[in-house]
Amino acid sequence: MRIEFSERARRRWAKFRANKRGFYALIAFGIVFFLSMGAEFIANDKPLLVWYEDSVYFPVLKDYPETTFGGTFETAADYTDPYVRELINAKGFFIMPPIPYSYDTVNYRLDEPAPSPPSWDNWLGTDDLGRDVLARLLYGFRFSLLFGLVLTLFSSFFGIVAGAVQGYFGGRTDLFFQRFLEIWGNLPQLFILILVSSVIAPGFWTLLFVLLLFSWTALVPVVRAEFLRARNFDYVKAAYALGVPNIVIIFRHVFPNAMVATLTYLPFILSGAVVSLTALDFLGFGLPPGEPSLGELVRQGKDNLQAPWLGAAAFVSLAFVLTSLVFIGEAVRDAFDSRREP
Amino acid sequence: MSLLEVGDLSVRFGNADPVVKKASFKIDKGETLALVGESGSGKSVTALSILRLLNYPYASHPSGSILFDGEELTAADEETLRDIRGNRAAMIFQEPMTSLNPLHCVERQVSETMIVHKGWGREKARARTLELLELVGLRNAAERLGALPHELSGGERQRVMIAMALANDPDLLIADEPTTALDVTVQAQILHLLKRLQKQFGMAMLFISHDLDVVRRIANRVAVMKDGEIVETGTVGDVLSRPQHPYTKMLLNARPSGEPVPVPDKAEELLRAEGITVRFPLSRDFWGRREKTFAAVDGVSLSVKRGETVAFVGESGSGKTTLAFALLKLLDFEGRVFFGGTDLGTLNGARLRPLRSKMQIVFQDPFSSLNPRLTVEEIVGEGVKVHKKTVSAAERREEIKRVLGEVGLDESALNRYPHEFSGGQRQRIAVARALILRPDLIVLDEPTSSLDVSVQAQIIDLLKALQKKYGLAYLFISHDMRVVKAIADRVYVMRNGKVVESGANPFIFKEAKSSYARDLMAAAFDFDAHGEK
Repeated sequence: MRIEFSERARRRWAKFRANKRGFYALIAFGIVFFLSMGAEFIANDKPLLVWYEDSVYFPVLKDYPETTFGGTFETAADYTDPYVRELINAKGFFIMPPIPYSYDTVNYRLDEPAPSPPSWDNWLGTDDLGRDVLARLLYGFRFSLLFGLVLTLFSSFFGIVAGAVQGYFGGRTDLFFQRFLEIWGNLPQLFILILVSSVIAPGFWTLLFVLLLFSWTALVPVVRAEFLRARNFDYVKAAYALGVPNIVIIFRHVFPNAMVATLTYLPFILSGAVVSLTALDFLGFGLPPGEPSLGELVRQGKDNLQAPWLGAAAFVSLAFVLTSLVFIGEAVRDAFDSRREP
Repeated sequence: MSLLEVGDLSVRFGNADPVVKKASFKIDKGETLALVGESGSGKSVTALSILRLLNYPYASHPSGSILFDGEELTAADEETLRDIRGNRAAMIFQEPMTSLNPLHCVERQVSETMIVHKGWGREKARARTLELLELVGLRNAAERLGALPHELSGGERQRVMIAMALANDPDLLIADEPTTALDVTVQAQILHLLKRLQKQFGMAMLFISHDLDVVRRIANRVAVMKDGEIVETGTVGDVLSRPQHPYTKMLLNARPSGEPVPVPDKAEELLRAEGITVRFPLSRDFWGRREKTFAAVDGVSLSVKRGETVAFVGESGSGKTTLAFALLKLLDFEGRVFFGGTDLGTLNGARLRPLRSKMQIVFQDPFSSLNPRLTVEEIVGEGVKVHKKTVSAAERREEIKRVLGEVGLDESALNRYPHEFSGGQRQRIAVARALILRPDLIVLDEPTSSLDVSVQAQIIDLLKALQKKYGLAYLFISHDMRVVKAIADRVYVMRNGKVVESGANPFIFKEAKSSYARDLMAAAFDFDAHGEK
């Protein structure tokens, strides 16, 4: 009966909303997340739209050679070049995004030496190479979150599988895994991360691998405990007596019991992932130089104490991400707590 | 004037419909009134509201009065109530483990009420505590004053509870199913004790129970409760021998009865087990090897023929369920099990799977044995999915409908979840799940003991009908000799992991040889024959 299920879901949603802090954090986080997904359309050094000789061009989506607009070079048009701008304005017009800089656009027309303070041109100022801080923040935010989400996905997957195997089979398997996890958990994580990432060339997937090395253990104890409890349920024994294969019992009968605990944990794992990536970037072992990231911005703030807008921007944005994730996590926990009434 | 007069008492929780509707009864000094009814009939709520122990103000009384010794309790303030509770009216609960504080020793638990209500010193209270514990028959009472609740057996804990209740010579004792959680032989002792103490102290007693046989022995008068209403009141003799209300008649006729299904003469042997021993480790050495073990099942041999019901009888902890799990290979064991001629010890994993469809299990508690997140169709059809992969979804659905019909449920059950069904219906679903694979043997692990009496008889009748139709063999595990008598062809009596006696049903019921089997029998059928130990 589907109605019963949606009834439960509705009750959980009501409990989630009852936690005001978590609910507003979700709205704020959702808006920022949505905006950062469309970063190319908000902060870019290419026009959103070009009207030239009665035809429409979308430079954001596609590269056009300069010759299209009557220029001389076969290379992609550089729309920051006053010459190209004049060419287009002569036979049409163009619309720039609200922030006319991409994360790697260097603003050569600064009034002061970089890093320059906030102005009407660069709302949050520029960093030490003259790049727009707001644009870099937007792209860095997107990368951090997507990276965090993928990392959360992978580490929950491995964590759940490992916890399930341990809890379901118990006995020696459990004992062996527990000792292994204790040793693994006591390794000095940051040093190993630095060592590994100094050997492997950094990139999205290699960084993911490096951080996954330690983050997958987060869910293991939770899932293991739920499985240890659930494997003694009568209906699990009944399924075993029916001859149902272990893998089916695990996913059909036991895992749903661990679901609530897992979901409750996810926002916290996500915020942990964002922090780890930021830490690596800060130390310079993260993304390649030039890529926008929150950690890199923090480092710039540290290196340029005379330019407080760098540190402030990094601090405020990190604080926003982490606190809103924690608030959302608390609200999720409330929602799944069957003892709490909305 | 009666000691306790309850008039038109209603109880409701929140804004829901009242769970107790205009109940009226009275108890005189020195009298025992039994409040009888099935689970959910409101008998415990009635008892708790007398001492105003419900969760007020969530619970409320839309109508009614409770007069205790001429004093109105529904309007009484907290102070008056505190003076009455545990002092002039005391209560014994069903589950002795959870109603004793696990961190306090026996002496402290019992003497507490005396120190609180009478303001006695520790020494004086201690002397009285010892006296009380001896009165309720706690063995070696003097040495066990310092014992913690977990060091006592279930029966001993209930004795301590009774001693606590008696500490201040109450005028009224409220006993809420005081024997339900205990083994049958212990039950008999506790009932005997209560009856003796009541006479000795001249107390009035409100005795709550669902078991008419217990009531017959202990009560002077009976009030039968159904859906929050008292439907019949009268003396024990009148009500139980000449019931007026149809519900009382139903309760009286509901006890499992009849004869077991006869076994065909030439039935072949289906299951044979030799020297089954199951050991649990008590301690392990450094390397995880077992140092000391405890044999939960110790060298049990048995055989079951096709179409036969073999019952294993014994008290909790006697190893019945462990034995059944070993026979189904759900546990590791020593010894050999042959099922239809195949040695189960030589098979494992995938090779065992085809045989699993031929031996099934039905658990005691139908609330925990069905996955709450699956529909009835998914629950019942799971075995078919595993064992008959070629069956199409439509055919499987037809088969599920057929089996549900077989156990007395209609197809509207298919898309519903277990929590929408009553206990009896759930047990039918569990039977359907076992039945759909057309097994040869079903292990029934106390299939009726968590059900109401009237439902017990229905399930037993259903099981017998299915056995007749399909020639099923049952391995029936129970501690209730009355149920066993109605269904078993042969009976094994177990104690401490060993079989102490076995024989054909009529045989073992007429001339049990071992004293333990006689104890069990006496407890079930006539516990007056059995005195306190």
